[in-house]
This record gives sequence, structure tokens and C-alpha cells, in this order.
Amino acid sequence: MNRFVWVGALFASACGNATDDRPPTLEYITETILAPSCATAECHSAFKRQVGDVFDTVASTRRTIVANQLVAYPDDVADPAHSFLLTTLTVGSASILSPGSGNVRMPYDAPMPDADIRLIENWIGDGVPGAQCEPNAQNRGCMVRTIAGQTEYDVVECVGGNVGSVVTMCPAGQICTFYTGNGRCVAP
Amino acid sequence: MRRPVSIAGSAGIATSVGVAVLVLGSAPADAYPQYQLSRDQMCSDCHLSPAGGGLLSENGYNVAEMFSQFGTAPEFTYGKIPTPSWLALGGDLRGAAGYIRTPDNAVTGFPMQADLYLHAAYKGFSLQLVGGARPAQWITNNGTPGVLDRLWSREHYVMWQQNEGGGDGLFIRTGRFMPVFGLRLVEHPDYTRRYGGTPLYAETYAAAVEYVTPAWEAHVTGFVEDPLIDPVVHDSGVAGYGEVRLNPRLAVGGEAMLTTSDGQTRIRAGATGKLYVPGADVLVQAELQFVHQQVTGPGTDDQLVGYVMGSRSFGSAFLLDLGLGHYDENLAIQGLDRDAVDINLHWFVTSHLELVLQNRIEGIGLGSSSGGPTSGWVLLHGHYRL
Repeated sequence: MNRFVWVGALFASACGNATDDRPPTLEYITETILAPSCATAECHSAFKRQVGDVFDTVASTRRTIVANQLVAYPDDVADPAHSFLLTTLTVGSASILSPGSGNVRMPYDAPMPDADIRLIENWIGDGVPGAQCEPNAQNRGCMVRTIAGQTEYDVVECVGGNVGSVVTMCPAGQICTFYTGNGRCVAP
Repeated sequence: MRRPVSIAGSAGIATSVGVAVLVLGSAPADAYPQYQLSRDQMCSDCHLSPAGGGLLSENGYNVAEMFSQFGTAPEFTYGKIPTPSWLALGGDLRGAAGYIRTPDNAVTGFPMQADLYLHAAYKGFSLQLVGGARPAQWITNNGTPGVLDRLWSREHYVMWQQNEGGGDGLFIRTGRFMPVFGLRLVEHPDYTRRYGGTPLYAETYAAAVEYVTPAWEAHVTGFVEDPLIDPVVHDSGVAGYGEVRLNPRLAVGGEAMLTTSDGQTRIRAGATGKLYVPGADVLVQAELQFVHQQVTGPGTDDQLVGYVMGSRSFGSAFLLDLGLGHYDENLAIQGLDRDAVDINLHWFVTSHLELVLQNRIEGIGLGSSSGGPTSGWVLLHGHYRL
């Protein structure tokens, strides 16, 4: 190949619009950012499922974010930078595989562009559409809120990963999370 | 900021560094396309597979012996376990250790590959099996993977070839293998592997029709998402690659791939080139790929993936690669391009043992006001071929 064509192509590609008009949606972020950056063979693909996180499809990303509380809806919406997901991408979070060994920043093998992190931050700030809850067979899920320092667990309508109306507020002594109840109030 | 304890790590799991960094280095033994044109014309001159990689042919054994510091018998187990003419056996063991900064600093060591190969031929038909270790899938609630969870067959296919025992002619194969696409560089972190449609463990169930001659070759592979295991890649589609060797020292190629999965459709089109300069004993090879991606719902991307590598042999046992990679995940947006410089020094110690010093530095958004952290690594990679 003509090396001048090659070099020209590289320089041309470094151009682009300074305005990021990409859609901050779960579908777009999964397919264009999380899947290529995180869902590699040894990491967060369905093949490996490292630490239980899978980002290779929209459905698996939703489940991962909700189940593992990488973004806690609605609490993290007001402050996306403090979500587990953003923290892990920017400064790192405590290692799960080797507790006590310090923080680990992701992606592990190649950093993520700042613009991609901003897009994810914007998506969280928009309310994490599509990954607010993980529906069970009855299209119900859970919502966990912190109100005046108290954790409140709600059973909610959950369609398309989005929280609808509150069905039940769990009474004291019962909780509703993906791993415990998912759509029902149960004892922890 | 929280995370349920129920998915937290189990005792006995390797450190996050050791496990996570596997992504940098795991690499099934593939062919060295650096040898095409500089040593032989076709991948199948040295390999039993028409696309290269895996078990060596008789000529491949000879090259392995000639291009090594201390020689040694190149056959499987140094010829101590003889095999009949219809059967070929082999295997590869790999591991690496070194320093990474991506962008956090870590010193690490990790296994990469432990595979055994079998190729049995009867007239024009053959069976290829690759079995070995795989990374076990994470099990929630402190589960420990069993032995069978750590084993798999990455490749298994049956093949018919027109020229029995030869490396040219028509090949038809079906089973599990990597779709044939592009230059097929060995190192999967190379951008045209990682972002170019053939990442690590992208082997899947496929059927391929391939025609190989010293002057040209063409490969068409239809493939589906692996229905038997949780795969790395969920795509189904078709890939085509053709290469014409305009003269013994110059080859040009074209590639196209159409894939679809639940959530996106992707079209890749690109070109490859290889030029061997005998006076300098330098092989330059390049691949440039344009990618159009349509995501379900609003959102399309146009991407560019490229890699150019210059390779030069030193003496009878050293090979130096200088590689430049470029990947722009969205041509319309500034700051989403990344560039890498790779310098790899191979030392072929014996016909079975290879050491590779792998170095990379990578930057994001070069030339734009926003980008991302610079990263890199230095790894010493050992490879023993049975």
C-alpha cells in the first residue's frame, strides 16, 4: 500500500467535530463504547463474565448495571461522577478480585477516551434510561432510594429497563434488590 | 457508590492484575504473516491450514529449524513421538510477564495459552482439533469453576482440499474457526485484530470456501454466533478476503465483512498491502479498514482502523517488528482516535522456543484538545511449541 495514502488517512481521521452529538442511550453506549472497550475475551464478555459484569449486549449491560449497582437509580442521577461505573472509569475502585490490593481503573488494558466517559456521564445524568431496573417476568423490578439518610426499597413497574409507577413500598425489615426479591419485597 | 457483596470475589482467584491483564497477552499461536513474501508466498506453504496458523507443514518445520539460534529437531516433541503420515500433532504453551501502565502501574505475570492440536487426514479430507485451557467463566456467589469449566476446543473443523497434501488449490471447510479476514496478525492487541473484526477468541461456527495459489488467494467465510457456549463475539455474517501477489515481493488485498447481531449491524471494507524489500530484508505490511456501524435506535458510527508494520530479520534468529496502529471509533467526533506504537523483538532460541519482548505506547486524541491518558506496556513473552 502506498504509504502516503496511509499517512494521509491517519491525519484525516484525526479531524472531527468538537461537538459531541452522539446519542446518550443505553443501546449506543453499549454497542460503541462498552462492548469494544470492556467486553473483551478475558474481561467483561459473556465468555468470561469477569466479576459478574458483562457488557457485550444491551440486555447484559442493563442487567450488569442494575444487578451490580454500577449506577444506582435514582440516587446517582444527581451526581453521576460518584456512581460506581464512573468512579471505576476515572479514578478506579477497590479491586474485587483482590480485596485490599488497592484501586483498579477500567478498562484495564487501554484507557477510555475522555469524550466517551463524558457521554456515559451525560447518560447517567439524563436518568440512566434503559438501565434503571431489570424487569422480572411480570415486568416488575426494584428501586432503591436514600431519603434523609434512610434506605427505602420499592417494588416498581419496570418496562424496557425504565422505572414506572411504584407498586409497593417495602415495609421495614424487607428489601427489594435484583439479587434479593427483584420485583418483590422479601426479608434480606 | 456501592456494589452488592454477592458478586464479590472468591478465595483463590488470581489477583485483579494478573487476571485482567490477560487481555493484553493471551494469544493462540497463529501464523507470522511477516514471513509471507519474505520467506514464502502463501501461509499454507508453512501451515496445514489454508489461512495459516496452528500446525506446521513439513516446510514450516524446516523454516522453524533454519530460523532459530540453536536449531534442534523441529518436529513434534523433537521427533521422539513419531506420528504416521496421516496424523499431525502439536501444541503451544505461552506465558508473559512484565510491566504495564494502562494508565495505572502494575508488574504482572500470567499464562496465555496451553493448547494441543490434532490434524488427521484421509485422502483429501482432514479433521482439525484444537483443545486446551480457556479462561473459566466467573461464577457468582463465590463459586469455583470446575476442571471442565477451564477446558474447551477453540477450533474444530473438517476440511476437503482439492490438492491432497498440498498447500494450494480449493479448500472447503466447516466447523469452528476464525473467519478469514485481513492480514491476520498474530498479536491480538494490534488494532486491526482488536477493533477490526477478529479479536481474541472470535472463532465461531463457520463454513469457508477458499482458493489458494502462489499468485492469488481468496477466502469467503459465512459464520454464525456460537450457539453452544457464551461467546466473545455475538456476530453472524459473512467475511471475504482476497489477495493478489503482483510479483513475488508485492501483494495487495481487499476485504469486506458484513455482520449483524442483536443491537447492531456493521459493515467493514478495507485493503491490505505487503511489500518485501530484499536489499534491506524488510517486509512492510499494512491494513486499512473503514467501518460503518448502525446501532439499533438512533446512532451510526463511521470508524477507521489501521495498522502498518515493518519487520526486519537480524541474523538467523531475531526478528524486529515496528508497528503503528490507528483506530478512530467515530470519525465525526474529535478526541476519539487512538494511536499506538508497537516494537516487538522476537528471539527464536530453538526451533521450539521463542522469546518476544513486546513494547507498546498508546495515546488518545492526538492533535485534539481532549483525549485521554497515555498508556503502554513492556512484556516478555515466552512461547514453547511442542
